[in-house]
Amino acid sequence: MNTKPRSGDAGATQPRLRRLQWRLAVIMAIVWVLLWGDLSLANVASGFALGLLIGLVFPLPPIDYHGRFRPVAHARMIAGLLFDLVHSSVVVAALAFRFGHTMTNAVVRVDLRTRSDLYLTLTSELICLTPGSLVIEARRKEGRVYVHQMDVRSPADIDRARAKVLQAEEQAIRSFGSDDEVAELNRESR
Amino acid sequence: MNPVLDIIGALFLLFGAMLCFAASVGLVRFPDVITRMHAATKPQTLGLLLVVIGLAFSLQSVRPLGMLVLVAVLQLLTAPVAGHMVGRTAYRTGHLDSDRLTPDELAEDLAAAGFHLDRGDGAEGIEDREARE
Repeated sequence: MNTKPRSGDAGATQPRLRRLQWRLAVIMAIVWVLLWGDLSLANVASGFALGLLIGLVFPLPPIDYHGRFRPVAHARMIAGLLFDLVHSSVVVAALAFRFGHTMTNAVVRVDLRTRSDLYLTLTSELICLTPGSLVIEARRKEGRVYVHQMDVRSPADIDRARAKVLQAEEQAIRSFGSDDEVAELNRESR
Repeated sequence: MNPVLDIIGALFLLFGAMLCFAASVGLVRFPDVITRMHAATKPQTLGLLLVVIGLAFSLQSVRPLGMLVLVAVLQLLTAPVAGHMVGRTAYRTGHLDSDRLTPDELAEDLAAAGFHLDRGDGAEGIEDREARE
């Protein structure tokens, strides 16, 4: 149970940041400019000020992050996400128009490899867009998610759902993880 | 105005609208809250993305592109979160068809940890509560 590598310290509740968050403000300024649709000094300034204000009023716990961004793996993750989104949309849309079919669903427990908040969030987001699954409960201490899987017909479907979650986590680690974590993944898959 | 781009844009808009329609049909026809959230997160997201792409093709100007990208990105980020929150609440308040849930490993783990979700025979759905009031 406790053999999992701890890449993020998700155990204890960390103090929330109580200082100005410049990076958040820059991101909010970009979003603000995009919302208004034109790049003017007033827009940039008001977006930046709003970003600072949001950071002060709604502070988030800091992300414990040791990895680095890997563009190739990230591009692969985005491509996989879009493919899954198309696939799952077609599957769910087809189910919506299917008459005389009683669906059986399942809630599947999946233990993730890592315990980082970042990977847990990314994995959950990716899972929600894969065919017929939705995260209904996430435990950050144990690094565990409970996935609601739609239209389960055989035990093989459940195994597939479980494999899909682990695959999503692998994609998240490969695109944002540290060298150690990726090496760990490579060792595992060999 | 380029007619070819107009036609491409119209096709994207059409497919996007069809997917949003499928999502709403799923929302009505699926048996419980969690399965309905599946309909609200997947075809709906792709439908909106296609509508956004269609708009980009038919507007044919640079200025709204930033906002369209923002719409697409925020939709991709927030739809799973909304689906998760609604699904989680639905599960915890017992608004789901537990007969059709095989296996339910969350219920097993909760039972092992000493929690008991009031469901099944003793479950109180919205209908019961409304009937009593």
